[in-house]
Amino acid sequence: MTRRVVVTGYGIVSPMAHNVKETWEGLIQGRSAVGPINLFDASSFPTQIAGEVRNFDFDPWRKKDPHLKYAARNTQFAVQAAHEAFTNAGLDTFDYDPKRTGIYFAAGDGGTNIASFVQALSESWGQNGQVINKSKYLEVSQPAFDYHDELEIDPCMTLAHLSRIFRVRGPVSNCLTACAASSQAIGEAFQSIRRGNVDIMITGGSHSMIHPFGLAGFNLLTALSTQNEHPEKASRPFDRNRDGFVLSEGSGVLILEELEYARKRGAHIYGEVTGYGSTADAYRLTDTHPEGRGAIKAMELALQSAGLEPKDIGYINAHGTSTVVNDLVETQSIKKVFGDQAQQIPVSSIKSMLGHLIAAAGAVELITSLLVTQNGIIPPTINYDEKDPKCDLDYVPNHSREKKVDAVLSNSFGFGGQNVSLIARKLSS
Amino acid sequence: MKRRVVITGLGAISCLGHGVNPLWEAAVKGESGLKEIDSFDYGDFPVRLAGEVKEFKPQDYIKNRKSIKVMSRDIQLACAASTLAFQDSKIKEEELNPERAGVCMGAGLLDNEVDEIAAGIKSSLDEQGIFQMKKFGSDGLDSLFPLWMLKYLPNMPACHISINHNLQGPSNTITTSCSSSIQAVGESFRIIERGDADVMFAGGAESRVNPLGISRYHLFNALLQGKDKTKEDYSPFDKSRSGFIVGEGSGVVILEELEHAQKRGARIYAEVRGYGSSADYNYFPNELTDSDGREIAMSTACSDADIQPDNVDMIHAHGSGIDKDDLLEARAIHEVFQAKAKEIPVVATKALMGHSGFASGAFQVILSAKMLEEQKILSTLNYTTPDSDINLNMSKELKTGVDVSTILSNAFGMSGQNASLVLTSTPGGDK
Repeated sequence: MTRRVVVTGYGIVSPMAHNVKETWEGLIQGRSAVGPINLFDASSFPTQIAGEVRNFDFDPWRKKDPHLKYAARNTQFAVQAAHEAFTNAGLDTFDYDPKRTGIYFAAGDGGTNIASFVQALSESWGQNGQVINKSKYLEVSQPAFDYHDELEIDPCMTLAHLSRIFRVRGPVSNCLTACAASSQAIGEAFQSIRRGNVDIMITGGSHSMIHPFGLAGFNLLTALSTQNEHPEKASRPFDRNRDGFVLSEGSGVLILEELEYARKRGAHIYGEVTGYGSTADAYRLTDTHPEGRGAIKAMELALQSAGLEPKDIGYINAHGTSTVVNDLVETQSIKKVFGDQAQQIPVSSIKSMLGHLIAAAGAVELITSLLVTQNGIIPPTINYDEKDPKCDLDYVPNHSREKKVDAVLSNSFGFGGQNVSLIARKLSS
Repeated sequence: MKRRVVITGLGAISCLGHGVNPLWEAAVKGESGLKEIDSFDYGDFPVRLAGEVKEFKPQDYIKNRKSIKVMSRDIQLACAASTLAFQDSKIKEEELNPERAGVCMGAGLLDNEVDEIAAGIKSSLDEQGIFQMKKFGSDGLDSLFPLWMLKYLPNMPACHISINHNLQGPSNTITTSCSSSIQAVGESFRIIERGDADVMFAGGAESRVNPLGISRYHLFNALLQGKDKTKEDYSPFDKSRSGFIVGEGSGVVILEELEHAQKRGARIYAEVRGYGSSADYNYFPNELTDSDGREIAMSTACSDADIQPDNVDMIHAHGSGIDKDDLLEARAIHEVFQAKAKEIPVVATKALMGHSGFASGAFQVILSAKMLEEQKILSTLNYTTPDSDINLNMSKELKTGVDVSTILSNAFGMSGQNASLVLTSTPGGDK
């Protein structure tokens, strides 16, 4: 008998809001959370807009827990979102077994401490064709960097903080598979509970790449929208005039639990995770497989593991980044998997409103998908103004829509050809 | 019926040489590959020893030469080790269903080549030599390689491996610092066990023998310090232990479902029988107090393997050589093994090739697999003076012809991620 896995809590820190409720309200109202970059002076970058988390005050956490004094931005988001999820699940007042509780997370790194790095480099310029004098760098870098700040940027640190704060002693892991990461973490957390190692998993992701090196890297890849004049219009998945994704930041956290365990403690059950597929394109580093080989297989595997047919899916939460290629290949892949059904299934991308939370995107999207099943409302793909003849699905353009939905499919695809699909549904008896 | 998972291919690139053979031969002889750093001038810096991979030519292992340019050294090493592991497995193309084959690698922050990123910073200085973000957004970007970011993304070792070997199944990257590659092997074991793949490439790669990497490790006060220090001073579990010497390299193993391996008559090195991971609540690498996470990882790995700690023949320790890290590992071993803790041989192997971070767990799995196959127990290099607080049966010399059929292998991450694997020899696969 397979152990069933349900969602009993969730939390979000997004550019829209610092909690699930207001993020959801913004999404169904079709509001954009994208604006000019304020975190640093991006005025000369090709892209000057992003989905920043604004007015986020971490000081109360720092006061409560001295260990969080130096926490990196992505860790701050994760702590807040995990706290919301944990409280939402009622675990703050429940005596759970730490050894039967684990974490599978997808935290990104904290980003280079640029001021320190620049200081160290500036004191160690080389001569005779060497850009940097290496021995000098070693010497001057020691006082230039702060021990704590450097420690905190490691992608294992978010996990370290979450384990301590939520008293977790079961299996822990952090995966970082680019834009597919938090969906992958959720899938693996789901598998851990299924297997029987644990009863509760804290899962999801957190990321902030809105720093000079992150923006530079994506700009160099020409992956980002440069529609700086109208930030709120820049992210336009599936629209004919889409020109790249909008970088954003935040965290999404879910509490997964074994069904009987959750029932026994009287937890509120938001839905069930039933399907997970993970594949690689194994094609080219910089290009998605043109026929969507990996994406198709990921969706098929998710359906297969959920024991569902394409007709059972009532809503697809698309990866929908707003890049020319992703949205095209994703559309084709959905058509391949869903055949005649494809035109009947609403497909929307909330990245049109939130931007792309990178490693945290999949978690926020799965939470949104669960909210769709509970509320019977599908958030729209905003900025859908002109149809792309090659993208011809029902993208729920510009306005949210009422529809009773039982099962949802959520896609996440990452650089390097990483594909993950998840299926969640209302709890059936 | 539970699917069983065996190791059928080993690949390593380390300071001891290219391939598993030079690593294993040096391990058997007890010869360290640590030397003075010669890839850059370290000047008067108090760290001068490392395990550098010498004479490494990525084009020997990577068919698509254009792709090499988009790889940091860590990724190149990962690709090389994976190619060697695949060759060693002797899997023929027709025996590999690409959709049933995947990859899981340990990785994390990959160091920029300092001259490459510095060129971007340098072109962003104003006339007074002060960095201006406004210049970085224009001139700085112009001076960087367009695919710069892809060279350093943590998931790229796994992505390149999936491309090089046409692995269309699951692809994952674990970033739990020094425990990441043991976890990558553990996660791959789970993937095959539950039926999502028949073959997995698993391991890790790290290259921090560079100015940024050495600087960072030194900042954490983790390295053996002193201009007078020799490679013999890297002495895990010894009373004199005082930090590690950093190594670089990559280890990759091929994991395969038992029947899949048997059907093609594969050479089976060992079986992966149990995996456990846990967190502890330590925060600073130098202020370690909590050993419970280590203890839980080991005991969970044993119960997952369906064995009692008493059945373990040997412990392949994490043994980083950091004072408190070794102390906590010893304390956890005592907790798990109780009276047997003083009898069971404990081996630490990092003094051979240096502490190689994301690759270190994979090196351990490879050496453990070889010990099981050849029925040998390696020695712990440079272990001379016992520490009464450690009080373990450290393996001081090579033992051959011993009965070693179950090894527990540990890896502990920088900030409290702990992972343990139970590996067993598979005589006839009847366990």
